[in-house]
Order: sequence, then structure tokens, then C-alpha cells
Amino acid sequence: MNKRLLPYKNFNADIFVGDYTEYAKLHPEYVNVGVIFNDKPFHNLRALHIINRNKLTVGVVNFEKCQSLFKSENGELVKQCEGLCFAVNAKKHGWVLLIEMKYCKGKNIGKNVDAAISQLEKSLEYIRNTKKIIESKDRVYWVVAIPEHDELEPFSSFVFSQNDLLDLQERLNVVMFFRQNKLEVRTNSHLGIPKA
Amino acid sequence: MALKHLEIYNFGPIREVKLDFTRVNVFIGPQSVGKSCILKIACHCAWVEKRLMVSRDVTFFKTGNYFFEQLIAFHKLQGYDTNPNLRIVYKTSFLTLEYIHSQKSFTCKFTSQGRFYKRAKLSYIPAERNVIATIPNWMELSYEDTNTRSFMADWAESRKKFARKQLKILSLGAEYYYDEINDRDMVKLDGIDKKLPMSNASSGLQSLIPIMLYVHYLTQSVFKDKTVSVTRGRDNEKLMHRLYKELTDKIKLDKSNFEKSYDLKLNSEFLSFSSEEERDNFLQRYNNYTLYQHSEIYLEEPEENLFPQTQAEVVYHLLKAVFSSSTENILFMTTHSPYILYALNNAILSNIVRKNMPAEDFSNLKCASTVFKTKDISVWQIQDGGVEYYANAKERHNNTIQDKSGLIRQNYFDNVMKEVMTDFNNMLSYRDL
Repeated sequence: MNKRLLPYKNFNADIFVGDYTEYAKLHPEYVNVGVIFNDKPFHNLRALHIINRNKLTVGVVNFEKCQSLFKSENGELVKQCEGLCFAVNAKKHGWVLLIEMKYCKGKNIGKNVDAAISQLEKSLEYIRNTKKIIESKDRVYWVVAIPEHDELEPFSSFVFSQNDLLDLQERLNVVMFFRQNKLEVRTNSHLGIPKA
Repeated sequence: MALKHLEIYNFGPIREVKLDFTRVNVFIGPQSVGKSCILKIACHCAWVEKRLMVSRDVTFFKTGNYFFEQLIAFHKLQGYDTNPNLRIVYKTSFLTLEYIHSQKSFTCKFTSQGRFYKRAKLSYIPAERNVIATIPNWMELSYEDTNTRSFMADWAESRKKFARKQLKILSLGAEYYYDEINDRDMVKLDGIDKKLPMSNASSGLQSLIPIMLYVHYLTQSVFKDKTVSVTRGRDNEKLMHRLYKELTDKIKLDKSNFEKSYDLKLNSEFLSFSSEEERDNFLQRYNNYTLYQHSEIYLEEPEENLFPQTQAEVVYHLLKAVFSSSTENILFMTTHSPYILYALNNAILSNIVRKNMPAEDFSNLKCASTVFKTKDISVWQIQDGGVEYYANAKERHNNTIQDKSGLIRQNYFDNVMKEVMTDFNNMLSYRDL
């Protein structure tokens, strides 16, 4: 991980990730807030919660706040996901987490999944292959968080089958966490889904 | 190397399958594609092999087309035998059987590996196994000689092992025991003082208890009695003479020559050996032929009436029973359940990542205690009369739906679920809130 290429901020505790874009549609005072990485839960917004019991140092990059990172050579903006977290003190190759947040009506979740995946794939392609920030041996995780829908639709855990997850890992060297609103930092090289 | 090879052509819904069996063999697929047919034919061929290895009497199976007629009658396959191009080939290290229906021809060729043969206890656990729970007086009913009746007879025998102790049923808070005095199958539930007859227990327990008890019997109890031969009478005598001749090339002695300390009296006959080693070799071989050395379990739909979490537990329990026993047991299974399949895949993946995962994290996995080589599990998808393969031929394990590492890949259950979810997603847009 070439962290010196990234404008990151250190966190040493739990991290809460929220996106106020949809919320701002009904609350104009939040119009310029957008994506926030916080060390406390938001009082008015459900968030992705990254548990960090061992208080490891996690670098956080809010892509919304550094859009110049995603300007291509001809000045166009490459569509990106919300942000990235990584293990700052990983010895050689640690974990990197790409984050996509979806706030939408329950009925639209299915439609938005494809868009979310597409954005993650583009972000990864750009960060890994174009900007060379992520190295091939870094352990890359994707999370698609849908914080307002903790309750699962029937069989939604089957949307990505075991085979889909294996394909993704083999094709892009990525471990997908789909519809997970809680993750935990296990070590500098591994993330996981906390047991209920 | 495959343990056994089976080919089936034009039998019922099966057009052509060619299968190399491993320690655990699982069949999935839509209704009525022939999954149970495969299990039944495999079980029948194993039984024929067992009879032939002892008796060497091929004529017995040729006469009156007995090989095929017995398959149809015992496994209730009437109506599946209408295609004239029906053919079955079964091959192991010890023999090759072939049945050609158009000629009503049955042949058997023995290999030279007979000295390595080990007798198997074969058991077919049918989908209708809970008949022993739902019908209290099942012992009094008259049944034809079928796999159901055979199962019932084995159940009657195996449950006696739990006359003086109880069998814990996974983590369901229930224990089974056999009330020998009243000849009843009983269930004790945690937290409840009363004991229930199994016929009054839940449908899940009625389906699960026969599996649990029977698998326990087949992977542990059945090998404990080393004194009773399972072959009888004339077969036993002929076997003994044959093995003796193969090993020593001698004729047996009469009593007057019975003097050396390593000569043997067996089945009222006196056998002479050149050395203790020769005698021990003979006894070992004789026991391998006459006492059960391992079990082959043919199990239909273990998921019957079970909650998904229990289905996963059953998978882990079965794998543990098959692989952790000191005997090389073999399991065959059909299933309609995605939970069974995904739990199996979890167990396979656990054996791939075992060394990489921190021990504490690994030990928290429900599948942690299932230890095996991933190549020892084969999962076949039966569809449209044949076998569906994992698309990437170079990366395929044993012509199954598994990749080279043994992991189960694209499968019928995923496809069905995607279809169901696609309909659901499409309808959601029209839902008024």
C-alpha cells in the first residue's frame, strides 16, 4: 500500500461512516456535508460501523474530500466509491477496505446493487492499476453498506452466492462484504464480520 | 485414485452418468432426475460385490436375471427398467461387474487384488426412515423385502446399543434411548421431566434420530464385535478353503498332523501353516472377508423436516463421523437443500484455510471439527439425464461441480435462488408504500 500517495487521517478507535447526501434532500442544512468518517455514531443518521476493539491505527481517506485524486489525465472525474480505510501499521501488506454506502428505499435495493458494484470496481481499477496506490499483495475488501436496512429481505444473503464470492476473489483479488453494516478490524491484515 | 467407478446408461431418467466415487459423494439436482436411482444402483452393486467376493459364484446372479431383478425389487425401482439400452458397469479394485439389459447378461471379472479386500457393512437409509417413529407398531407390519424393510431390521438391531445409555441429538436438547423392557423408542428432552415416545416427538427429531443413531452404529459400534463372523455356513467354509489355498497352496491337514503351535483350528477344521507370520496373514485376510472392516452409508435427504441450522449441524456431524473414525467409511447422499450444500462448502473451505486462520478464530467455526482432505469429497449435479460439470474444465475436480481445490462452485441451488430473487426484485418496483 503506497500510503504516502494518500491524504489520510488516522483513527485509533471505532469508525462510523455516513453519507448525508440523501438526508440533505429533506434537510437542506446538510447539503454540503456529504460523506463523513466519524469516531462516534451520528445522532440522526444510521451508519456503517467499523469496530476496532484492539485500537489499531486505521488510515481513512474520504474520497469526497479529495476529488483531485480521481481526476484523470484529461481532467475528467472518475466515478468513485465513498472512501477507503487501511491498516496504517501493517508490516508489509495489510488490509484495505473500499466503502460504498447506499441510502435508498427498500424497494430499490436490488436495482442499486449493480450500480454499487460497478462503482467499487471502477474505484479499485483506478486506485490499484492507474494510481498504483493499492499493491497486488494488499488484501482488498469491499463493503456495500445499506445502513437504513438492517433487516434483511427474504433470502437476501443469497444475492451473492458462495460461488459469486469465490469468482470475485479470483477475478479481482477482493473479498466482498455485501449488505454488512458492521465490520471489525481483527488485525493489520484481516477484517471480519462480527458474530451477532 | 477413485474408490469405485460406476456407469449407468438409460436407467429411468438417467441417460448417461460416469462417476468416480470418493469417501463422500453427494448428488443434487431437480426432482425426479435420478439422484436416488444412482444411490440405489451404487448400493446394490456394492452388495453384489460383497456376495461375490465371498462366494465367487457369478452363476447365482446370472440365474433368472437375479442381479437386475433383485435391484428392481429391493430398491423399488419398478417402471425404471423400460429402456432396452439400459446398461450398468461397476468397477472397483477387486472386480468389474457389467449388466446389459437387452441381453439380460450379467458378467463379473475378478482382479488379482482380492487379498486386499475388506468387507463393508452396507446400509441404505431411505427418505421414509421416519416410519419407525410415526408408526409405533412398525415391527408387527408385514413388508416386502425392500430397502425400507432392511433399514427397519437394522434399526431394530442398532438401537439396542442405546438400551443402557443415551444418544445426544446434536445441540437440540434431546436424547434418545431404547426402552428395552417395553420395546419402545424414547426421547428425553432437556428441561422437561417427562420422557416421550419417539412417535410423539417432533417430525424433525423423528427424521434425525434414525440418522444419528444409525450413523453412530455404522461408524463405531458395528466394528466392536470381532468374534462373530457375518458370513455363514457353506459360504464360510468355501471362503476359508479358498483363502487358505491362495495363501499357502496347501491342502488342509487332518487332526493327526496338527502339532505345530501356529497351526489353526477354524470352523472345526485344521489348517497348517509354515510359520506364525503365514498363519497371521491368513487370519487377517479371513477376518477382512468375514468381519465388517468399514461402513458404506447410503443416505437420502438428510435435511428432511430439519431447520436450516440443524441441517448444517447434521452435515458437520456426518463428516466428522465418516472421517474421524479409524475405519475408512464411505458416505453417499442425495439432497434438495441449499443449506446442506453450503454447509458442506464451508467444511471444505475450512480445510483449505485451516493453517492460515488464527487458531482461536478457527475454533469458533461450527465446521472446525470436520477434518479431511478436500479431494475426498465429490458433489455431482444431475440434470437432463446426465452430470453437469464445473464449467472450467482445467480447474475441475473429479468431473463434478467443484473446482480443483474442492470448493463447490456454480450450482443448481444458486440458479434457482437467483431466479426467485430476480422475480422478487422486479416486483418490488411496483410496490406502493
